[in-house]
Amino acid sequence: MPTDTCNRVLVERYALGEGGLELRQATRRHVDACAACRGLLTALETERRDYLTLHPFREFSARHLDGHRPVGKAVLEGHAFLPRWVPALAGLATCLLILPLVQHRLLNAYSDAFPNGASDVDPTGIRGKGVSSSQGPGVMEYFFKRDGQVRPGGPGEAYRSGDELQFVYAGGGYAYVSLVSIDSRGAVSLYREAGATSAETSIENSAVSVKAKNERPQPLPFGVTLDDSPGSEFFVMVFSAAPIEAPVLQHWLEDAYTKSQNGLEGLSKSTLTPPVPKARIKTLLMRKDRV
Amino acid sequence: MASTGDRTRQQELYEKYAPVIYRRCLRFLRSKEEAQDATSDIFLKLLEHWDSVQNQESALFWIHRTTTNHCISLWRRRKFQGPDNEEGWEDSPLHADDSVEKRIILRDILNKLMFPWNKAVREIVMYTYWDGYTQDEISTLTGMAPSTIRKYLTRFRRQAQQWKLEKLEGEHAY
Ligand SMILES: [Zn+2]
Repeated sequence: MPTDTCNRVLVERYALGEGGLELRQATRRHVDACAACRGLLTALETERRDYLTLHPFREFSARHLDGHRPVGKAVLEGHAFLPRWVPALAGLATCLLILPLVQHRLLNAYSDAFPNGASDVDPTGIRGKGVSSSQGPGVMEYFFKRDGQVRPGGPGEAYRSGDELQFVYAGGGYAYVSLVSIDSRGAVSLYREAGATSAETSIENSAVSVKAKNERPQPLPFGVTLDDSPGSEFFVMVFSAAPIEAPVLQHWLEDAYTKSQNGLEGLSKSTLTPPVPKARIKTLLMRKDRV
Repeated sequence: MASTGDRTRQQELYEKYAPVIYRRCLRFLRSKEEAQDATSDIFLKLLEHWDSVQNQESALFWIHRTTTNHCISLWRRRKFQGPDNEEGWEDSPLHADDSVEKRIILRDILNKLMFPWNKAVREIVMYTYWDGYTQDEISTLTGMAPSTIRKYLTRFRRQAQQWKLEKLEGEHAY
């Protein structure tokens, strides 16, 4: 930069830390000597601070990154959370279309596998928190689909990327159920139904809770496909009287993870306090194999 | 996208670039709400393409180009007839001194630019008349030779003559 000429683009690039050392030094010299460019630099910095005060990263992250974090898991449904990922999930979209059929098969498989209902056996290794599974309310079970085969999830089963999970719950009188998970790097995923209307999930409040049906065990209206992030995934199902906001669930699980002495393993063994009063939680630590 | 996968990195990029994107979107869209929505869209695009963006000479240039195209396509989608609303104009430190007359000229030009137009020319025209950048500044931003910039502007002015935007005459020289 000729130091006697004003160049606002250079000042902007300087403010962003762009350009090589020599260019940056020349720009700095000009800015130091030029009141107009100094004023611009100050204004740009003020503007940045103001913007970040009004729109902090955590707000953007809760709104746009959670539930479809770039290197996190693919969410089988939930285009409200992942508009940008829909094309990448085209294969999964096919699964969405057949979801009603799959649900049928899942529920049949479910009744075959658990003729007495889920409440008196715990074949899946899902551990109840806050309430024992034999007492209801709130039951969380899951099935997984691999190579076209639907099977009930079980203890000691190692999961792979690409496995599709279908969670099944029994509402037990709770009005809403939410699913949230965290991986071994501490990244939280939230899930919700694709195209869900406010009647179903209160999307206008950024809540991720599904209105619970209570007649019999129900599959969640969306599936989850495991991604290739390494390590385990810790799932939590939250049963509540009212919808829960996405950021509340996110921060709650992040905090719990931060306090855990021993990562997800420690988190799965600790006694978690539910994210909102009078809620119940069910947890599941899912181990993944790298294939 | 592995390079932007972790939250800390995303936050760094957000704090650096989102305010820049927003400032530009606000200048185009006027409405703070719409500008915020556009900022989110563009920033997500930036994360998605970060590997290639960071290999470019300047992320600022990528932001300028992407924001310009994004906002123009928003205008066209909603058949926006130019920036008739003055609100928000003064928000940018780059443009605090725009005169009312210049704004009217800009509005006329922008109305014309809503129509399909050579993208490279349109980009230079936007930087010149919308952003008010000098040819040196455009050259710094785009890496384009000043002679190419002049050529594009000449083409545009010839077209502008046909549009009978006589008011533009006084605004040529930067
Ligand atoms: Zn200067």
